[in-house]
Amino acid sequence: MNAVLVISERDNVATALEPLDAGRTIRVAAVSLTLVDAVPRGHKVALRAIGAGEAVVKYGSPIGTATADIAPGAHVHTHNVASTRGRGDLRARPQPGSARIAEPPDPA
Amino acid sequence: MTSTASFLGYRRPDGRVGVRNHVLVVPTVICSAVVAERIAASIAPVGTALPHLAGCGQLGPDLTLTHETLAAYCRHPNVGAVVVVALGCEQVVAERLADDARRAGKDAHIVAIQNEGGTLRATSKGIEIARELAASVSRIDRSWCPASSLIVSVKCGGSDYTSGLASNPAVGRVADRVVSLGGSVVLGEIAEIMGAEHVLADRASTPEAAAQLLRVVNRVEAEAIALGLDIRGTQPSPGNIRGGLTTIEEKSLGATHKAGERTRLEDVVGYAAPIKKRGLTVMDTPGLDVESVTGMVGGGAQAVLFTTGLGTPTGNPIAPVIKITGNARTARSMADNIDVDVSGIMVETESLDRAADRLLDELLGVCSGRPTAAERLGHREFAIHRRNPTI
Repeated sequence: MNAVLVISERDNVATALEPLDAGRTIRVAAVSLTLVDAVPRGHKVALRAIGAGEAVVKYGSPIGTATADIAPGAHVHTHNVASTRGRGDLRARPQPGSARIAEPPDPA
Repeated sequence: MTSTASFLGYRRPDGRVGVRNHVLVVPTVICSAVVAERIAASIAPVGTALPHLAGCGQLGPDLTLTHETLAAYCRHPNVGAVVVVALGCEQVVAERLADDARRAGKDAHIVAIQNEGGTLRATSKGIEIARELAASVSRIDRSWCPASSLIVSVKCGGSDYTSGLASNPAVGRVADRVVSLGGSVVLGEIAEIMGAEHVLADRASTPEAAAQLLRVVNRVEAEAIALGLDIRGTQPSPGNIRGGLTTIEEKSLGATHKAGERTRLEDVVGYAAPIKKRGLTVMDTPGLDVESVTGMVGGGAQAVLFTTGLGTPTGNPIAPVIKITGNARTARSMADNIDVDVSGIMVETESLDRAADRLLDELLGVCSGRPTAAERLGHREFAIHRRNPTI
């Protein structure tokens, strides 16, 4: 059994099939990759450098955007990947004048 | 390939085929739920109730949704006969539910608590009726039915990294086989298609089906955005995130494997609406497991293939829910909830095809009457989706 699984050749991350310690070197296809971080079982490890703003790709499709530069062998999870879908938190804040119930009126 | 796949089912007067033969006790409203549960318990396990929180204080679309979901269960082929338990002053109309059951060829009776004169009299009358119905449905025999008469719901809950790698692809191969045998598959949970809609839209049999799918996914995403919040936290859930799933896109891409690789998307239907097409149908359900399963069974699914990584007990009052895990530790730690362990896929001791063979055998065995873990444990969760506040 391999230590990690790569689903599609387009992927830039692999899934750890066992807990991986930082510093361990694993073989992925023909290349060797040294773990920068510890990666828990089921979590993802970067197969190559992924720049901030680049797509993180698994199953051959984008699963989100890197929020920081990610080094090869680094743990890839919520601390360095953001979803691009359903992000109401990124929506522009309501403009003054569109105040909702229970908000005080604008002092003007 | 099991080209002659068949199972021992119940052929109903309306032409549909059931895999269970329940006497269904339906409260029209939350106020009659306790009486309904006591009546059903008196003839367990044949008797099964649909306790719910709705039936009154609802307007427009929500009232319709409640009525149509309850009516869909009254018509369902897994149901042999129906007792409707009314209060008497509620919005959901008992007579309409009983008529729906009768039009499907089922014996149906109404007990109204205000008419009977209280809980004790209504319960006692209901028990008397339910016992007669239990005796009459027990005379309906099973007969061999083709797999083409199946509508199989595919569902995942408590997902972890094994779901997208093992259990969902294995269920997907069963979905491919059920469809190639002439049957139907239904996939719900629109939020968990977000990020993977291109995979299903590419397999749509018509441009209309693809457009319908994109419309419904866009609507759900717009609803999430309108809340002004990040959906991470519910999608993926905290447990999903601990299990290694980072974003909804990643969860969706893994979840969509359940719908197979070769099935064509034929139709997109509303919550608990009838599934009419052979092949793959997507139903507009929320991601909450019980509401989602309730809707897909209402649409006509006779059985549910339910994958889980972390383990979850969800059942249904009338349909068997088969639990499948690709996580070896969950298979051990929650053994009483798990029907099929496909964790061999993760360690390459079993191929996806071999796991799919076992799953199809399990599906046909369960459809022939073998109880699932959820049935043995009495898990009969039921929740009708609602979109608006209670008035």
